Amino acid sequence: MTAPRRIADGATDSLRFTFDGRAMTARPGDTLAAALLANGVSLVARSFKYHRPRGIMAAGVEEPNALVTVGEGGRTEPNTRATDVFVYDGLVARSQNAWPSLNFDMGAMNGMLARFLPAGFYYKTFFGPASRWMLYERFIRRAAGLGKAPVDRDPDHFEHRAAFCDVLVVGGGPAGIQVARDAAASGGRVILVEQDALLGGSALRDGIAVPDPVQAGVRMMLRTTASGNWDHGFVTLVERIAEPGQQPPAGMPAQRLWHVRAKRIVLATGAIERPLTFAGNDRPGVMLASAVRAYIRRHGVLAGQRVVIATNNDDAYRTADAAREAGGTVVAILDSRPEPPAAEHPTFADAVPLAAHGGRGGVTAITARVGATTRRFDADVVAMSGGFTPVVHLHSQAGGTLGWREDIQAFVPEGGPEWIESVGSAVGEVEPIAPASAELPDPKHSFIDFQNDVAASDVDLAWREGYRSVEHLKRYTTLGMATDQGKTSNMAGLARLATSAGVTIPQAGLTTFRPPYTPLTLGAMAGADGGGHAAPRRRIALHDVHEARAALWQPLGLWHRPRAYPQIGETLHDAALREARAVRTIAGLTDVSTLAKFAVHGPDAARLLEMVCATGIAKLAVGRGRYTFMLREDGMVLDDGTVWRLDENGYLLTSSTGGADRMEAHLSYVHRVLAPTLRVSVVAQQEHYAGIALAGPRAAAILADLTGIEPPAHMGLARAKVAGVPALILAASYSGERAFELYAAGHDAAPIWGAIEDKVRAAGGFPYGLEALEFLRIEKGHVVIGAEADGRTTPHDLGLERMLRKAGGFVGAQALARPALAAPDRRRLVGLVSSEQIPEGAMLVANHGATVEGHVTSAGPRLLESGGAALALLAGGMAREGETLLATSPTRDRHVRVTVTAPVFHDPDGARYRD
Amino acid sequence: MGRAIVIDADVALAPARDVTVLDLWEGELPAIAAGAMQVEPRRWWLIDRGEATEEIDTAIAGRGVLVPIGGGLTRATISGPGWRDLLSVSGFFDVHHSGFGAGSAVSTIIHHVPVRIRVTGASSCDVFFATSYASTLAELWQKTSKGG
Repeated sequence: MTAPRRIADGATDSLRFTFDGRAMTARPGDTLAAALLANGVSLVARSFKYHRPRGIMAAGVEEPNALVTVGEGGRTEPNTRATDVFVYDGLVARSQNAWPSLNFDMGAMNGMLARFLPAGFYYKTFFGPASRWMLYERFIRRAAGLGKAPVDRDPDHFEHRAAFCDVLVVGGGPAGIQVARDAAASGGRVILVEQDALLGGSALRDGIAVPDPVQAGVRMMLRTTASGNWDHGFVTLVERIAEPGQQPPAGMPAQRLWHVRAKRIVLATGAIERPLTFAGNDRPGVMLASAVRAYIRRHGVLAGQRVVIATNNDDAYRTADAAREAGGTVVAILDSRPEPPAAEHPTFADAVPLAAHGGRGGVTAITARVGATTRRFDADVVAMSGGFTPVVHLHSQAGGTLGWREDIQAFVPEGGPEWIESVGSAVGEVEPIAPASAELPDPKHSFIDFQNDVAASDVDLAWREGYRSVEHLKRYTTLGMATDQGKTSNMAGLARLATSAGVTIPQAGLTTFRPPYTPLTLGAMAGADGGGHAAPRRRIALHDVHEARAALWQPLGLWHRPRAYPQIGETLHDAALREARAVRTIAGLTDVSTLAKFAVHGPDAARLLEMVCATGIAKLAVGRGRYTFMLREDGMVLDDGTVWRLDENGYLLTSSTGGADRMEAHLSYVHRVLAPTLRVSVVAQQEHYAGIALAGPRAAAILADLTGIEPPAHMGLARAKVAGVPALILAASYSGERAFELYAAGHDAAPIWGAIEDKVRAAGGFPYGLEALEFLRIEKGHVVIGAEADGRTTPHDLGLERMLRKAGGFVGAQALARPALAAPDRRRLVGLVSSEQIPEGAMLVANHGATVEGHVTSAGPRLLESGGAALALLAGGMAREGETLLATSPTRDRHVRVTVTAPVFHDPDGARYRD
Repeated sequence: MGRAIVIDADVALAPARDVTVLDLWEGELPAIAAGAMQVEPRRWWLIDRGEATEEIDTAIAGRGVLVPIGGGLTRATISGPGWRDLLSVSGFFDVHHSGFGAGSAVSTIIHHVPVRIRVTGASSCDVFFATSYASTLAELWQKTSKGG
């Protein structure tokens, strides 16, 4: 056999790359596939299941065989199609799915066992008791997967961008370019995207020049793939700035994910050539005819000296012409049609390939049925063409329907959204074909899905075993799965299924086209969200203050708040206990900046608040505040907080951190939808005010010392300067101790923290974090949104019913009258005590194995006594007081006997926060 | 689309401080508040208008209210030829729309962050957002722009 070679044209190679450690050279513009062929490499990969030797079949993104790993370290990208990566200087490529080497792969033994590994082998073999599965899993895990994901962090960054246009043209072939130029000429904003690095599409393989769309005013994006076509003209594009494994230019992302809104979308996505089905059609050297031509015309590479063409249409004849022009020998054109066109090549009518012969190095000959005879032809490359399948993926993704074209044996766009149209090959402007022959002497080695090693016999087997739906066939055989999503195999699979079923292909059905069109990296999807929790990190106004105190940070939604301030040698629990005890005995300060805050002003402010809040508001005196809570329309507790009357028509409403956005939306809904005529203004001030809570028996004295004013009484308010910064002081207690919340403009609050901290530390107290705050509020029995108020609890369930405004009129009032909400077995708030720590989240049962009657919502230590305390939701609520239950957490193997008590463990009369 | 070029824009972040919401439930915007940035049908932002606050407060007495919000806002001043492209990074609106010119304002999302943008000139704008997101956006723009 004769290996592929570069056509002598005087050009020189200037790029260096390696494949499996072997140094090679390439020309700028070469794909890795072209460069490998130019370097005489035919064997590129091993197939997934049988580890069969595979070469390069296509010249575009549809390539099913030549999957390689490129790049190193964090830039490693497995399963890259060698046809879809352009060689850059220093490219490192490796074969995959082979051990110990590509040439000698132990996994190839699977091929010898192929008769025992048919479609469905997995389902038929790996079943039985769970214990046996544990054994199977070890082997399955080792065998599963294709390529190895990198373990290092990706050093590059990715970007999301937005773009808008009048016309988005997908596909830079002749049809797409023409549409884009015409649209630009009419004055619209036009974007043309092309996944290749060059414009031209099919013109590139036919050596036809295309006009420049940029000169016509078109915004052009090369190396950009339309990955998804969503609703209402929204298309996602993936732009490659760097090739897979390549370091991007300084300051540039590796890839961009574009979010494009287009008024009109034109799909000029072309068509993909189909392979023919015959024995050994997966051997290296058996290629798509259009690909053979593309390598000649575009890259100057002849895939083999002796060329046999196998076709059912006219397009492959152009490949024969190209091969001859490149110095190749066209051994034969095997045309399945009875009357092929006239050609200057040895052409055989009514001729179909039966088997390709050769070894892992490539094909050496092909056997064909020619009329009533069988003939053998020597060949270094077999260029096959089973016709062309229009690329309808994007059309279908947007809800477009498809129609069947008998003459090309393919589906084409039919109906769809009015803003989408397809043009060119994508609507079936391709060569008509002769219907495929069903004769397959060796269906076990006649591959339909190359990537998944699905042979014709596998499709037949699935049919015999009862898989009638094409969707079931796909999942049973894996046909059409993995990185190529069946771009070259789906139609052949459907044809085979239809033959078995005795129906037409459209009657056999079609699987769903889902985004992305080609694989995209997780980095592109994540964009700038990589690392951490893959989300923005919200910093509180005093972030740097806490950072300087070595705070442990607690993520809460997007917020990060201090959890504790451990001293040297302290655990988190030790630190929290120390901090909480300081609050109980001396004083402490904590950051409450993230609480939601709303300024509510206007003559109707009280009326709005009495619609939103379930407690009384209007009678609140100026300068006073109170605890309040809000309900959803179904009567469940939505949020809680405090409301303060700042002046005659002005209030400050606070609510939970996590519910801030929800509460803003709720206030807006009540105002704008339920009561649009109210003369009121609601302004969110969550971040305008930083908040610092000062709590403890010494808090009032410290505040007086800092401000020179008489501290306001519990639930009173005052204004004063602290460290020269104006502050609003609210006397509210979450800890159960005398406490004050000081609010000041976020940008100016740091001096206030510093001044308070100095005084607190001088008194023997400490800053405290969320962990201590949690201990303190549990002991005091304060509920928290998300734990006790879990979206299923009413005010009655939480023991708040006495605070409900009797006149009603608030959101959720009517729903509270539902009889089911008064059922005696509803889970209601109780306290639990134990001599040991109670596991949070534990189930409450009478004994092991008994029915679950409730669960522990929050748990913490008693701060000045031994034992643990918890809040819980328990069926029957306080009617169960005094009962002993088991708090059991099987996942943590913790089981604690608890006694049901009132849900307040500290100062039930509130004496400690009243002067 | 600037494939090989880092976006040519400079970004400067600072506390916004003097930003006040002007809400009206009745009547028209008083003349003294002209030029305020309208952010909702009945809501405007007074930016750097501290010296006029008292007079505006008097002008809207009984039919509206002023509420400060600047304590938790950061202002990013973006300038340079690439300022529009920078806004399209992790953004979702048409930065090249003809209506998005000097004197206009938009409310949108950039990188999950709610922002208000005021176009201050042919090649500059102010972006206002909650200060808690400042480090996130600063990092985003630093990665993306020449002068971030």
